[in-house]
Amino acid sequence: MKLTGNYFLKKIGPDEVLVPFNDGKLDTSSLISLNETALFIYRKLLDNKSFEEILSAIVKEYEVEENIAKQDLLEIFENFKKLGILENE
Amino acid sequence: MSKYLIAKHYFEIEFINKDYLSWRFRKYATDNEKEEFKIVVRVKEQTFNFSDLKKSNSYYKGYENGKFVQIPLGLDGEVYGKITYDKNVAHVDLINDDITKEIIMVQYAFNHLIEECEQAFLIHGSSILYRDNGYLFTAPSGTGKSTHTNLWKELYGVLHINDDKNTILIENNELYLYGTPFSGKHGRDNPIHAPLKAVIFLQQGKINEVSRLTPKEAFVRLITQVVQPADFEELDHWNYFVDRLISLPCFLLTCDISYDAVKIIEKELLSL
Repeated sequence: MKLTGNYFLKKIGPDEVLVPFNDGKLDTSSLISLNETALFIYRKLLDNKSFEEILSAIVKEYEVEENIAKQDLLEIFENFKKLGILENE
Repeated sequence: MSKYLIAKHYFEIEFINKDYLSWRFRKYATDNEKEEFKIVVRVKEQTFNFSDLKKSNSYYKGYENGKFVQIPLGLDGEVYGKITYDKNVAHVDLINDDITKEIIMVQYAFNHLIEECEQAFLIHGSSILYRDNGYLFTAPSGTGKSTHTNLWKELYGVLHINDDKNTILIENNELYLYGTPFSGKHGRDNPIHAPLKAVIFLQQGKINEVSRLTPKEAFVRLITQVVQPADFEELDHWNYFVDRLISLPCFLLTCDISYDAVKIIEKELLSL
């Protein structure tokens, strides 16, 4: 799982958004707001954590069952890929 | 070659279009002998090798023979020439003799040289000095920034700091607006500076109203008005200044062309 590097995470006051940054150009028309879980996962990806490591971290952090966490994680990864945040493998 | 004091620094500039540009820069002329930066403009036939250069949103940059070079691009991608930096000297080589391109290239050189010694940032807008403070009005081109700040001038006799590309420097951890001659078609600028007190985003409307923006709302409007980072290397610098700007009081002024529009935002600014 690898981030494309086409976004950067920007903290704005209490909010954090992903700002698209491609070929030396900011795309200001499509800032992405992440919910708490998506942000948690994005941070883990920034730290180069694997799928299994992120899954384990979610289970620990949110005290959820692993199969539910796995389903959510796969869904968020799919969305990240569609948005060009995560590379298609 | 003439010498100018612009944003605290001394620039010796050799223009091609000396008559017009010396007049345009006249407010910044100085007799001080201090040598700091030199910008030498000339027309030179040249070929460009982009293969070793990195392309950013508005220029190519990189090193040639150990010297930093910039190849600025026009809005349509047109190459105006090349700037080669040799310590404190910028050699601006234009492809052809064109006053507009000469000013743009000199501005690139000015920005680069000043960033060598200052925490500096550029933002598009029209700024004024009012009661010892600087106020920046920004909006997309054609909205009426200059028209609005000119109303302030008519009403209160305020001075423009800059009417196009505003240079912001950090002093004592505060943002200061500095007047520079790079002030767009109206040439409204003055060799003055002032602490930046607030940023006002303008939009046209039939009813004059003002609202305070959250940092996130200000960010979304601001990023189209500031010089964008050329690449990830410049992102930290860009982020720092954008954060400083959205930490200031930011307002959205919906307005028509009237003194009433001035008064409605003035009331907010005076309450800060």
